[in-house]
Amino acid sequence: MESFLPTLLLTSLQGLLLISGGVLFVVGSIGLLRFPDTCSRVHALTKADNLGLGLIVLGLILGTNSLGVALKLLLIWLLVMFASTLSGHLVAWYACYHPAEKPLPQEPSDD
Amino acid sequence: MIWVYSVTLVLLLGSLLLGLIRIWRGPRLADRLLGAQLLGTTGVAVLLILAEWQLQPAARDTALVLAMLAMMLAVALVAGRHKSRSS
Amino acid sequence: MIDLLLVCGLWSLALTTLLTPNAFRALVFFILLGLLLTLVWIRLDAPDIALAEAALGTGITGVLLLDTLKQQPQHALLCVHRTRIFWAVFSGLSLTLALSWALLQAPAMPIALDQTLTAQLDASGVSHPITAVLLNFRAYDTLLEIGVLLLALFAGQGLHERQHPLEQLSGAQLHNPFLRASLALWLPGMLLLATYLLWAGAHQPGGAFQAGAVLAAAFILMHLCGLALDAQVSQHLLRIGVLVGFVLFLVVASSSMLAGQTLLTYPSAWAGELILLIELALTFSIGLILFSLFTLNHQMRKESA
Repeated sequence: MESFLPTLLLTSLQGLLLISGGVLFVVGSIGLLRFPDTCSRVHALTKADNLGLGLIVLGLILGTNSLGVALKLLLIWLLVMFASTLSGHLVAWYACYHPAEKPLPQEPSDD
Repeated sequence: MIWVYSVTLVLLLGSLLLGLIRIWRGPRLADRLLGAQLLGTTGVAVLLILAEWQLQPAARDTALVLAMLAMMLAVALVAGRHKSRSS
Repeated sequence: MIDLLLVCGLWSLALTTLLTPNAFRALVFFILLGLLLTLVWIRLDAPDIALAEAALGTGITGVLLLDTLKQQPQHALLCVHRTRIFWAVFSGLSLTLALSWALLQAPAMPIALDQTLTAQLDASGVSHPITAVLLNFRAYDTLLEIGVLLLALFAGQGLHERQHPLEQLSGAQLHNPFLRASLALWLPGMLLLATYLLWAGAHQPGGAFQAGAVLAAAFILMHLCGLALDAQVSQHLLRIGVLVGFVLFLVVASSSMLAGQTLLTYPSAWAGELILLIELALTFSIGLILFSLFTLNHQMRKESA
């Protein structure tokens, strides 16, 4: 029983982290859908995926017992944070500061 | 524990399909690329969970590759603009 | 449930990519199709293909298409013909039918290939079965594949014959301080990743093709950001680098004939080292070939401009 309780605690904590990470990704997608312009969509993107992936990585780290795997998961999280910062910055730079310099070709209002 | 993984996976794939709507709507290329970026991160999360679920450690390497190469699209978006201005 | 979602996503992505009249939308959907395929390959326990798909799909194909489309925005509206859709559906369906017929007709494994492979694995010099097949047991196929890549590059270069000054090759400099600072961190990281994939190929999924794709992505990134070597140096490096993989592979392959053995037999004491050497050269060559194919597009545009 004494060994059972920490395991249960760990498992439920892991489940909580993983599922809240998943929910954050859904929130990020909804934000991407609902926000009105490109710059605020950058906001939805970088917040949601960094935090969501961070929670999922934390949950997975709790489940492993290998240091190498835990470090690799952390590395992937750091890389994704760095990359999404950079690409968010670049897209915002492209979209917000030079909107009229070279407009994209007129897209059709199809459907 | 398995059901937690599957619930998280279903949530992630659901958000993947939701994000497709933004990419469909656009209206600008930058918006579509933002959607692709979010879905790339979602893909990384799915790969990490699949690695644990299917006992497939190589899925983590795949996630690593995805994480490193995901920003190339944004660089290509910006690079094209500057090159066309200079020429 | 998960597989169902994946299959639904694959179908909707593929159909949208084919049917939408908007080229930008089709482009991003195509990139996502590659992402979803990566997930499907992992789901099917084929991590080698998943790695290759991840590296090629996000690092090279998507960037190539985006770059091309941005230079020619007048083609952003595709006209979707009924006949084209009909032919796509028709050929897809007939391919599916033929494949399922072949699958049903297949004999029930007259030779147990996997057992033969496991039995012979110790003699191959590496411990990952797929690398053993690609670079030892069926090395002939890999040799010819590199030849095909080279031919594709030569054909691409043959498409535009005119000589032009090489300094045009490097892209314009990007004036974004954050991007330039990140590159100093990111490019060594990509090189490290390529080396890791190459090294990992001996005992787990990875290998020359995946590492070469990552290397090519690093080159493309440098090119897009306008980092370039001296024109003369890069020209010589490119010419040597493109050929070195094929030539080294051929030399090693034919050197066994001097000792009276058949083509492509490695001496068993050196097999592991030779495979690593060949893979190193192959990685370098594949990276440079893919990169050269990418820059061909730029050269052509500069000429027409």
